[in-house]
Amino acid sequence: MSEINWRRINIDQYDPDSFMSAEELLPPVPPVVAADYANLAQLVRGLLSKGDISQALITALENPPYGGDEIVKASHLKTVLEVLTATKSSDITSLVESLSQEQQTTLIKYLYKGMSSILGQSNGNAGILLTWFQKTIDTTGSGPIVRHISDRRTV
Amino acid sequence: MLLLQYHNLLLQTILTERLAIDASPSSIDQIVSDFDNVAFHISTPERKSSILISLYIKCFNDLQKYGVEELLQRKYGDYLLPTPEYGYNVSLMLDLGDKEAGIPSNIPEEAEARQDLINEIALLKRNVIAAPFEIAFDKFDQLSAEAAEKSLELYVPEDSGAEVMAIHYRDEESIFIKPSHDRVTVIFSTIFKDETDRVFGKVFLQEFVDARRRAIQNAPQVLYSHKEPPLEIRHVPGLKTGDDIGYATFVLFPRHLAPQRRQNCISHIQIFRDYFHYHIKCSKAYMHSRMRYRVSEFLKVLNRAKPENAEKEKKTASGRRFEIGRR
Amino acid sequence: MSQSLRPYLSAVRASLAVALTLEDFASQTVERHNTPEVEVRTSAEALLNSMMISRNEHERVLIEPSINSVRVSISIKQADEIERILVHQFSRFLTGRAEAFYILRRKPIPGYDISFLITNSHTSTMLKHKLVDFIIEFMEEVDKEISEMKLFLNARARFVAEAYLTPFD
Repeated sequence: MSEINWRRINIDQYDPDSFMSAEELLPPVPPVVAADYANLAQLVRGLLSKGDISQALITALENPPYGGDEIVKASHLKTVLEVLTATKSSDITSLVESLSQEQQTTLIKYLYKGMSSILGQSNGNAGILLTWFQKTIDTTGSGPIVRHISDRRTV
Repeated sequence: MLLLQYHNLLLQTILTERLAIDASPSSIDQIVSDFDNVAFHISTPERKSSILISLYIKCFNDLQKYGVEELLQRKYGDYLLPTPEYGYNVSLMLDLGDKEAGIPSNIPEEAEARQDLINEIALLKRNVIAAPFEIAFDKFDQLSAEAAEKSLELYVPEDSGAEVMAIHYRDEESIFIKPSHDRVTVIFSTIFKDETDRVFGKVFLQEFVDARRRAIQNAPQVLYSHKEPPLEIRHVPGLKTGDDIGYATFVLFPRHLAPQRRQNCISHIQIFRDYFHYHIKCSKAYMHSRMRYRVSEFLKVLNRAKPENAEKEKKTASGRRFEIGRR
Repeated sequence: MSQSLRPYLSAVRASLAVALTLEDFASQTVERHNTPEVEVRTSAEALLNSMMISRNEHERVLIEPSINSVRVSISIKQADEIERILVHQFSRFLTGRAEAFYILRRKPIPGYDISFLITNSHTSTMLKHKLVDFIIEFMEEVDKEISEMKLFLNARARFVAEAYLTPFD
């Protein structure tokens, strides 16, 4: 008769409202085509070689690949890091000021992600990222950090 | 205390007390331990005036091979007992004499000679281990004389005539002595009980190696190898290899082996292992006290995060204590 | 203070200040439980994105915020074997006294040398900015302490070696 121990059943698993997975929390994001970001990287590199760092930064931060897989995200991180490391430290403050709030938040997201990647930690890149971080926070206050920790969309 | 003493202080103190001219005899039964698991037993088994001093040393079998008996005979001939006390390797008998029973004393009357005797007995452990060193140094004399006769170049290949003398003086640690015609090589194998000892040991040994280059040009050459035994003793069977073992090699040059320096050199090189580990332990203790201090500093910083105790005692205007929740 | 230490510490300070906005939050999965969400990880909506601040490959701080708790893990510089053993001893020494440190996690998370776990009950009984001060000062002092201990060890070893070898002369 008692093949199932009814008292031990976790009834919450039958209640759809009881749990939320990380995927369910993610707001709808547009899917990402890898080729678009390859083109974008190309474009950014072109702007960098022309010396137009401001435009390169805005282009790189404009459309972060929220919906992309890890490979796309990693390659875009590389693109952003290229822009960040190409910037002179005296220009950082004025560049940050020219960004929109959305872009500033994206910048902070990339700074954190950069510092947690091997690429961002080695070759003295960490120092550059820390300088960026410092100057960004000086300009924007802690708003972007708050938006970073609470935004379910990750770069 | 930076350097360790060669003699056993406790042994020396006890004997000085007992052998004082005006000391009244009393019974003793005391076990004194020394470095390297050496134990002394001082007792008065028969009567209060005859003092038996026995020594236990782990490597006595090794030492017997290298002429410890002749050395003991030479140093303590008059006092040495033919059969040592049970459980010990060497026994000496000092008799203060008993006038009533008509037993003569076998120790010198003069205070100075007595003090010499006491000092010599306090060095018992040192003297026992010195036996193989003396043999090695004599062998060196012989080899260097031969080499001079044959007018060999200084850097000829090692002759394999001289054997490596191994003294297993601790459970897992040994001393190896190898004489040759231009040097005497002394190798200590040592075990590091834990990772910290090993790392600290490495730092210390590196400084031993560097000290000669930097400050003391005339010191013996020190070499250090970790895990692998050095070439000189690689053929010796039963050697351990492993992460926790290290080999320190001292190369004694002729200047260290000059006759007037020889005894001092033997005493000094013997204490290497104990000295070395003693300072590792000291460093650890210092680190520990330092960390303790640092932690208490951190705690002070953390406690600053606690708001000041808001509940100050409240008093009414008349000075009476004002307590809430009490009737 | 070296060149890159200042921005490193100020980045940690800014991030910590944001992360330390904690509130009481009862467990959603077990009735009458109130556990640090960052540790139990049972409700995804109570967890926030983590922040990593790094100075180089070896020195980094991971801040994992959640609704009622923050976990701060620090990886201390370990240039060689000596520093590694000193850091190990030091962190062991601290974790052995975790009871006195309230916010110290008894075991660091893998890959780090020391972890702090700050919960809402800590922020309600202690001043938040002073807690941040503590962590910053801790990071600063640990580096200093480790390098001082290493210097001391070398100096002592040198002195000891010379003292031993001199009588041979």
